[in-house]
Formats: sequence, structure tokens, C-alpha cells
Amino acid sequence: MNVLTGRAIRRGGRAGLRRRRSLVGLFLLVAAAGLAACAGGDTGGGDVVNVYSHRHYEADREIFRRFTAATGIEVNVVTASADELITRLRNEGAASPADVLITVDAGRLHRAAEEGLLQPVRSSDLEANVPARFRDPAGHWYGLTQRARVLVYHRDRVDPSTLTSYGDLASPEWSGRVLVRSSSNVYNQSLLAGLIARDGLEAAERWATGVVANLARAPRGGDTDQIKLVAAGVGDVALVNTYYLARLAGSSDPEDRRAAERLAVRFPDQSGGGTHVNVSGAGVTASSRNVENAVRLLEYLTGDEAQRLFAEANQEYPVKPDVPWTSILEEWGEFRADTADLSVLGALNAEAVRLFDRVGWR
Amino acid sequence: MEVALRRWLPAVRALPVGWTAAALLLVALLTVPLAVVAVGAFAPAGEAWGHVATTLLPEYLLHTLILALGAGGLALVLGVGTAWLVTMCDFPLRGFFHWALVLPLAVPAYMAAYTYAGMLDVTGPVQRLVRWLTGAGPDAFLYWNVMRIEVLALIFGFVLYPYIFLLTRALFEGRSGRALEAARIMGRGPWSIFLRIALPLARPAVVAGLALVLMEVLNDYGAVAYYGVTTFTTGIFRSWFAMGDLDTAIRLSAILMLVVLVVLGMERWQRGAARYDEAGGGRPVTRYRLRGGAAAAAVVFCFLPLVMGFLLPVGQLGLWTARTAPAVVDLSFLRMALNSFVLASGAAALCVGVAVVLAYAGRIDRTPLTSSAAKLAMLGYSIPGAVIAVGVMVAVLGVDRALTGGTALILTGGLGALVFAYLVRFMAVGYLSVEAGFTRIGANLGSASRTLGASPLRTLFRIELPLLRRAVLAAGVLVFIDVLKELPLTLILRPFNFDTLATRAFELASIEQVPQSAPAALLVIGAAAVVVAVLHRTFSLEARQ
Amino acid sequence: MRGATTVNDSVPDGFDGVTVADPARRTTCRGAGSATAPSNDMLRLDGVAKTYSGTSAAAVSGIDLSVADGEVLGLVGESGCGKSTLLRLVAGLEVPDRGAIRLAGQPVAGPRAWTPPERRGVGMVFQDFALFPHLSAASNIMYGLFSMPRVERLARTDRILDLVGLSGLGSRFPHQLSGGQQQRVALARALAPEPRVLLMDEPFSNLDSALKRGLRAELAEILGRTGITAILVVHDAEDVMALADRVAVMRAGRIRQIESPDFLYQQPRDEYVARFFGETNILHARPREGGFETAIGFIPCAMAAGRSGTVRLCLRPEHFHLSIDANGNAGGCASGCGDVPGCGKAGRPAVVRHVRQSGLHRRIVLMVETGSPGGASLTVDVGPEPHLVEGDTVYVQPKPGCLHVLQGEVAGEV
Repeated sequence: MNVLTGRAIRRGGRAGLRRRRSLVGLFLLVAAAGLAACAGGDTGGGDVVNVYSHRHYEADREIFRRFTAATGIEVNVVTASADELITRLRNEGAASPADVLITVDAGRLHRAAEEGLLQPVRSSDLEANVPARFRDPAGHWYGLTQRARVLVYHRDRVDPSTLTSYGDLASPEWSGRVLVRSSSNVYNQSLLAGLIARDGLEAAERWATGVVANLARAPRGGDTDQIKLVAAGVGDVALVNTYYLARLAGSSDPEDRRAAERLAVRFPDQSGGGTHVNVSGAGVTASSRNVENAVRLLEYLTGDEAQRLFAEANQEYPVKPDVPWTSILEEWGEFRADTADLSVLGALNAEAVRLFDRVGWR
Repeated sequence: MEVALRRWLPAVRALPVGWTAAALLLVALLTVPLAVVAVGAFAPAGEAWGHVATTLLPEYLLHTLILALGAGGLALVLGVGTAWLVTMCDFPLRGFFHWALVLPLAVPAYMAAYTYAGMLDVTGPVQRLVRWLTGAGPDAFLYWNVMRIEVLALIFGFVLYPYIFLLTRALFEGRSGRALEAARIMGRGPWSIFLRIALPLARPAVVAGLALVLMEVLNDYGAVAYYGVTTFTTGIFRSWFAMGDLDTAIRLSAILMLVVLVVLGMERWQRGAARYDEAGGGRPVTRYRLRGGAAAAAVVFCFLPLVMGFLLPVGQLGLWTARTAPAVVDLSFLRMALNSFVLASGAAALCVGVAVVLAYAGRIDRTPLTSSAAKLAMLGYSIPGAVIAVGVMVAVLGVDRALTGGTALILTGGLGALVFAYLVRFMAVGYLSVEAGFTRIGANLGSASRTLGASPLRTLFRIELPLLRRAVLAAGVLVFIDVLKELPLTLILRPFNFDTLATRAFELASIEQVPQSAPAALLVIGAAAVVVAVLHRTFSLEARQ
Repeated sequence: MRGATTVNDSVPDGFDGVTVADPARRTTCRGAGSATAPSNDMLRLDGVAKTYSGTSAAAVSGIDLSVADGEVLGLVGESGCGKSTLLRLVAGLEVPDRGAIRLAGQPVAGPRAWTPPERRGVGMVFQDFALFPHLSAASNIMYGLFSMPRVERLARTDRILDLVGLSGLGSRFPHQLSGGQQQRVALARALAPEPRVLLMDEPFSNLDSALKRGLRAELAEILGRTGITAILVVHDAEDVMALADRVAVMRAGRIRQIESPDFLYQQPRDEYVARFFGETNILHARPREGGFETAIGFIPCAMAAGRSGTVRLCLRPEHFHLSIDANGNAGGCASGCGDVPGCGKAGRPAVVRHVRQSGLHRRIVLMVETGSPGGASLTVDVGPEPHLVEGDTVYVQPKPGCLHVLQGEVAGEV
């Protein structure tokens, strides 16, 4: 190496070092200031309500904003999976800052209530907004939206009259035609829990065994993937929640819309026990220090404005009876839902998972 | 044992007390959350334990093994191969590959998994292209089952190989001088040198990189869950989420931790007395000039991981972003970007600082004490973030209780707790990189400084750190990128109303709005890519002046 | 043993130009591990042992050693014999498993003592120099002077650059210096803080031989001028003889012998030491009345008295008398045997196998007829005359009194 250039390197290196050192210092200062600033957010006193939510929907933020605008109550949110939030609640105990827990299935709410993490609350508005079967009798939790687990089939390849019940998915004629996602998904778990409660463990196990035998491919991906695979002809029928198809039909991608056009919805068990319905719901935490605000939030969430927004933004069925459905849901029509007590979904959840594992539904 | 003790005792007396104490204190702090998990292993088994252990474990283990072997093997070939090419060979675009090959690190594994599924999906761009090319009607859907364990292993390999690339490249560059040139002079061909000299020399870096890759594979949940592949980690979450049995989840995590500990220990033991220190600085080597077919092959070999691990996922995210950005992107992105950046840089700076203290204490203490303890602090990288979150929660809550008697939460739900959790989680990344840097400097310069009357602290600041700055910056960048894309810890432990780009991307992806999650994901990747590029520019400017 | 008082006036090359150190600095030779520690001991090691983790053999063990103030001690031995470890133990870079180390009477390592390297006041020159690559030569030298006022620091740096002959090169960075210059910077850096003891680990191993000779002389001068206590690890006998007042020969982690360089050459304790200091002939011998019976004949020597069994004799190449005919006409008595009794008689016939020019002398390898098949090979020095070539027959005979009996008995017959 040339001596001169070598020298230059070292000079540059040292000057660079000094420059970098001051840069690093500046950077650390900014970082510290930033951390301090970010850590802000009043979660204690004042007019606030603190929410732990498993609902990751953009619409929810908008709904909270409107609630704040209407009531002046600040809404602070942490979103994560319900199980993680329940663990956080349990660990924080009486000191927990959370006032409201929102989940996407009744089973988790039931589990939280069983652990004493939720407190019963009552209000005439809540009772008026939420029909009895969508809430805990003692008032530990209230449903916010309904989700129906339905059959989506290919218009050209399936005669809807041959597809009337969940039970059909287990019959031999559907061999190699059924698509469904993994059993680690909570919607499948609550469906099976519902079937166990309604038909008994043995019948449920026979059904699950039959479905596994009929699968077009091993369970993977989400509900949307199952729907697209039906459109692609990999299978003929998929077991999914309604709003995934509704969302695909309303997608900004023309390919998605074209795929959705080939598909139709079938509400199963209309002549039997009714279609499986779960709710996403909310409860007030046992440790809440803003119970009044929490109840006002629940009242708002079950009220007309929020219910309409839930429906529009995410194509979910509102729990409040007189709130209008979206046009797609209207088009699919009314259906008979399973009216069994939703808290059994939580009680039987672990049982359902063990059953899934026994029959090899991954 | 007794012999070992007798040998150690004098060395223990000669410990640099302040440093050892500081290092052990830091390790103790960092391992409290892990200890919470480890203790869980001895708690009475939860109800799900028997079920998981009998019906699921064999399959989970098999899948985990397949993923680890597939991803590890591919990452090894790509990482070491590309590192060798860019340091020892001259071919077109070498300078570009030298830094660009790090880029796939910016792509979160789960995001890559989503994009590949989306890309090959029936409504995805590939099928569209095929339909357009063949003139087939809109109904002519094809079905490629890409959501398979083999594919997932490849995806992991393509996005994680940069860990091996980075560490191995640094090592080839550092020690390039003597050994490799000596071998060349002895008339060895490039392949022979690569296999017989370079690989064995690069072993510590390769092993460190491979350890990081495997630990990433072990703790992944997002990608395996989406691809329906059951692994040890899905077992942990199945016990916890589906069966509500946190005890079993923790017990499984403890087993995972133990396995990793044994593997790390075995590597150490097998390395034995072999030394990998190198003395003196490396000067640039004379590279092999590749021509014609060989040059083309090298370009292709380097492009492959860059395309598969970076360009394709980013391209797909770009397509989605173009479609969804108008509806999704708003001013809150600015806030989230700031949160992400501040959090990642703060955590990276702290993590590297702690890593330097641990590695330096281990270097000067002459006993296996500190370096063994530091191994413990690395375990956090191997177990799922959500489980660490539980450990951190318990630990931080303990402090809160001690401070307030359980009436209020001071640290819990604060950013301090979150940053602490990052340290627990990513100490392995910082420590391994910094330690590799120390190894590269060799021990003599530090010894020389000490004999000239400089204390360990002075030696660290005046001699080691200036020579270590590449390794320190590289470690910082790795941790920065890791924190930038980190999910479970951020989700569970963050304060109210605190969103980062990664959490936003994940929230949308988890409700099956993957296209809508693309803008945030693209920003995460973009930020990481910018940092990688800037770092590279700094280094290359310095070298060129 | 110490009866051999013969002083050879013909010394091997390496001995020419020895810088004889100031006699005041030279202390009386003490055997290893002498029981009492004189007060002028700068460094003292008692029973020091060190085994590296992961190895079973001790790197050093049972080291007893003392170095007087101002003394220059050489440490020699084959590679891996523990020389460098000993140095690192003294510097405080390694911790001894057993034993104690004292510096100027103060314990710095031992059962209840530990002083870290930075507080020992021991300077060290590393084998690879270990110059800080990011600091200039001057900054390297100033590095150890940080507690000094700036003005003084600069002044001393200038002075010491001058001392090692590097004036004007202080702003260069290590990679801009030649090997020899780097070596000087390393030495200057170690000397700058005025350490109590200077340790040098193979100071010449990275240099070519021309450079080495020059530096060796300079180093000898600097050591003499500064009067510093020093330990040099060297693997070359020439180097150590040129520089050290006393030399410790190490093997397998232990000190085999520690004496002045001359003494080691004349009276090596064993074959290892003997071979380390120059070429030598080792002969198995049986003591007889008035001398030793060897393969090359009877050698009269008073040292045979009182011995039995088989012993080994050490005969340096210059310890032979050579004649070109059976009558003992001296063609070239290897060394001036003068009127030594026995000189002048015919020796054993031998055939010249190899001739090598070595300075003024020629070193030849002879094959001596011994009666047993193959004969015995001897290395012998001769003067410029007579001219011998391969295949010539000569008569060789050891000079009486020149031989040295090595320690230890040998099993079996001659």
C-alpha cells in the first residue's frame, strides 16, 4: 500500500471517528428524549378508559375516536392476542391499568370471567342493546358483533341442495373436496366446542374424523386462502366465517372480486340446531378504576352508531337487533343461528382442541 | 473437578472484580425472566402437558428438526458461499453484493412467508402472468401448494442467511491476510483453500451465525402458524392459547431453552483448546479474478438469495402497497415510524453497550466464569418472544410490587420494561457479534495496553473500542433491525396507544388483510435497508479515502 | 565437574563481538532456587506453576528464579517449552496456579497476592510487537505516559524516539514503518514509562537476519545504557549470548540450567543444553584408570576418577586434534594444543565426509573407524590449513582436558 494513501486513510479514520462519536452522542440524546416523550400517555387519572383489545381492526380506532368526541373520555388501547392480554391482566392483578377487555370470541371472555378477571356490570342500555343470548347472564361480558361460521361453495361445481349441514362435510361424497384452516384457529375451536355441546363428544369426534378424511389438502393458511382455493377448484367447499367472503367480494383487487363471484354462501343446519355463531365481545376488568367510563364505552360500542360502523367496516353482523346489515349480508339473507349458551364455548375449548389433536386435524 | 477448582482458584483471586461484578449483575438481570421460565419447568404439569407430550410432541419435534436442518443448511451454503465470493473473488457487481446481501435480514420471516403465499396465490401476480401469457381464461386457476414445510424451510434460509454472511464476511476480511495467502502460495486451488483453510478458520463466525439462524427458526410462530406447520413453538402456543394452560407452555419453553443450552455448550466443548485469535491487522487480499463462466456463476449465486430473500418479497409488498396505500396510509404512519425508530435505536445502543461489557469482562477475567454466564444471557433468543414476555412481565411486576406494595405499576406497561425485554431477547445477537469482533482483534493489543499501565477501562476505550467499532456498529445494526421487526414482545408489553410499524403490519396481516399490511411492512424493511446501506457507505468511504 | 578450567581462545563465531556488559551490572551467578533472597533481587519467582485450561501438561512448573537489579536474563529453549508463559506470568497476563512472584520484594502474584498487569510496572515487548494500529508511533509511545503532564510527556517521547533512533518518524502509523522500525517503536513504547522490569518476547523473530544483527547490537547498547532489569525470550543461542548476563535454559516447562552464557557453553548440564549452545559431539564413554574409554579411543582425563558405569562426554568441535599422517604430524591442530600432554600422538584414522566453510574456520564431518560397523561421526573444526577435501583420510584425537562430562548415567554398554 502506498504510504501516502495509507496515511490519508488513518487521518480520515480518526476524523471520522470523532465525527461519529459526536453523532452517536447526539443520537443517544435524541433516543432518550424520544423514549421519554413516547412513554407519555395518561393512563391514570382524568377522564380515561383503558382497553386491552384483541380486535385489530382499523374501524375500531375510528369508533374509539368517535366515542371520545362524543363523551370527552380518552380511550387508551393496547392490542394483542386475547390469551396474551389475559395473561397480562392476571399478572398485573389489582394494579392493572386496564378497564375493558375485548376479545374476538366468547370463549376467551368466559375464561377471563372464570378466572375472576372480569367484574359484572349492569346497565339498562346494555341490556336493551345486547340480546340475552349474546351476553353473560351475570353481566361479566357483552357481545359486540356476531360471526357466523358458514359453508362457502363453488357455484358451478356444487348443488346447494346437497350441502345443508356441517355434518355433510363428514360424509363420503365430499371426499377430497373440503377445505378448512388449522385447528389452532379459535373459530374452528369454538365451532367444535359448540358441536360437542350440542351433539355430544362422540358425535363431534365422528364428525371431525370425517372432515379430516375429506380434506382436499392439509389445513394451512387463513379463511381467505380457503375461499380462494375453492374458487381455484382445489376443493369445492370451505368452512369459513362470513366476513372473509364479504371482504373478498368488496376487495379493491378485481381478481379477488372475480374469484368471489364464483362462490356462494350456505348457512348450515337451518333445519337442525342452527348455524354456529360466535361473538366478539367485551367485559369490564375486575381491577378497573374507571368502571363508569368503561360501562359508557360498552354502551357506546353496542349502540347504533358503533354497531353500524362495525358492520360496514368489517362485514360483521351487529348484535343490536334493529341495526341494518350491509348489503352483502342482506343479500345472503336471514338465517337461523344456534342459540346455545355461548359460555360453553369457553368451557369446552380445551376439550375441542384435544379432540382435534386426536383425529389429526392439525 | 477438584483439579479444575484448584486451577481456577488463583485465577478467581485475580479477577478484575469491578468488571466481573458488573457483568454478572447484568447477566443476573437479564436472566431473571428466563429463570421465571426455567422454574416453570419444575412446576406441576398442567392438564395440557400429558396431552401435548403424548399425542403431539413427536410430530412437533420432527417438523422442528426438518425446518432447522433445511433452513440451517441453506443459510450455511448461501451465507458462507456469498461471504467467500465477495471477500476473496473479483467479479462484476462484487461491491454491490458486498452490502446488498445483508438486505434480506430486513425482511421479517413471517412477512416473507405471507408474500410468497400471496405471490403464488390463485389471484396472485404469478398466476395472472401465466394466464395472460397462455391466454387462458380467468377460470384457468392453477394450484401450487406452496404452503409446505419444505418451502418454509427455504424461505427461512433465504431471509436468515445474512447472519452467517455478515459474521463470516467480517472474519474472512479480518484474517484474510496470512493464512489464506499462505495457502495460495503453497499452490492450493481456490476450492481447496475454501474447504480446507477458510472454512475451518471461519468456524467461530459460521457457528455463531448458524446459532442465530437456528434460534430464529426455533422461535418463529407467525410463519409456521400461517403455513400450518406444527413445530415445538406452535406446541407452546397451542398449550397456552388454545388450552389456556400457560404452565405447559412455559414448561415446553424451558425444554427448548435447555436444548439450546446443551447445543451451545457442546459447541464450546468441541471447539476445545483450538484458538481462533488472530494477531495483527488484515490487509486487503489479492482476490481471485473470476472470468467468463465462473464470473457469471458467481453473479448468479449472489443474486439468488438477494432475489429470493429480498427483491421478490419487497416486490410483492410493493404491488400490494400500490393498491392499498391510499386507503391505509395516514398521518399515524409518521408517529409509528418515529416510535419504531426511537425504540429500535435506543434498544440497539443499550444492547450493544451491555454486550461490550459482557464480552470484555469475559475477555479479561481469565476464567470461564463470565463467558459461561454470558451464554445464559443469550438463551432469550431461542425461545418465543411471547414466552419471554411472560417472564419479563413477572420480573418487572416483582420490582413494581417491591416498590409500591402492589398498589401501582411503575415499570409495567412502560417503555423501560419493553426495552429491557428487547435486551433479554436480543442479547445473543449483540453479544455474538461483539465477541466475534474481540476475537478478531486478538488478545495482544489489550495485553500490551495493560502492561503500559492502562486500566481495563482505559484499555477498553482507548484500544479495544476504536478497533472494535466495525463490530460494534454491525452488532448495533443487527439489533436495530431485529427490534424494528420484533412482534410478540412489542405487542404484549407496549404502553397504551403505542404502535410501531411492525405491530401495525402484524395486526392487519393477522386479520387476513395482508395487502393492507404491506405499506407498514414495506416501511419496516425500507428503514432497515437504509440503515444497512448507510453503514456500508460509512465503512467503504473510510476505506477508500 | 567444575574442574574443567580450560579457557578456549578459539571461540565459535557467535562469540565474536560480544558486548561485554558493565561488570558492575553482572552479579554473581547463583544456582536456580537459591535459598536466600538477596535484597537486590528485582524479580523473584518461587515454585511457580501454570497449566492452561484444556491442556493436561503444565506450561511451566516448579520455576524458581531470581533476577538481580540491572541484570539481563535470557530465556531459551525449544518452542513450546514455556518461555513465553513465564514472561506472561511475570507481566501479570497469566495467573500462576501455584507459587509466588515478587517484584522488588513486593508480592505481585501468589497465594494471597495479585497485582494486575497495569500496576506492576513491567514493560513488555510482544513477539508481534502489538503496536496499536490506530495510533501513530509517537502516540503508541505516549500511551503509557498518560498520567504525566503533557509537556513532560512530549519531551520524554522525543527523548525515547531518539534513543531508539526513530527521531522524526513519530507521526508515522505502524503500517507505514518497516519491521525493524516497528520493533524499535515497540521497544520504545515499553521503555517509555520506565518500567522496573522489561520483558521481551522473541524480539527478533519477525526480522530478517541482517536487520537482526544491527538491532541486537543496538538493543545491547540500550539495555546497557538504561541499566534496566530485563528478561529476553529468545530461541537463538547467538542472540542470547550477545545480550544476556545469565541464561536460563528451559525444557518442558522447567528450567534445566541457569548460568552465564560462557559457563553454559563450557559446562552444559546435559545433552539438551549442550546441543542448544552450538554444535557438539556426544560420546558414550566408560571411565577407566586415568581416562575414558570411548568409541574413538582412550581419552586421558582426571575426571574419570571415581566414576563407574557409562557416561556421556561433551566434546565441542574445537576440542579435537587432527593430523594428516599416522605419525601425528600436525597439519592442523584444531586448537592450539601447545604442550598439552598426549597431543602430537597419532589419533584414530577417519575419513572426511563433508567440509563446510564457517568464517575463518572450516567445520568438517569425519567418519571415524571404530571397529563396529558404520563407525562414528564426529564434527571437528580445523584452521585454514591443511586443505582437506571429501575422502581424505586424517587422524583425529580429542584434546585431553577439553572434554566435559554430562550429568546422568547411561544404561548399557558403550
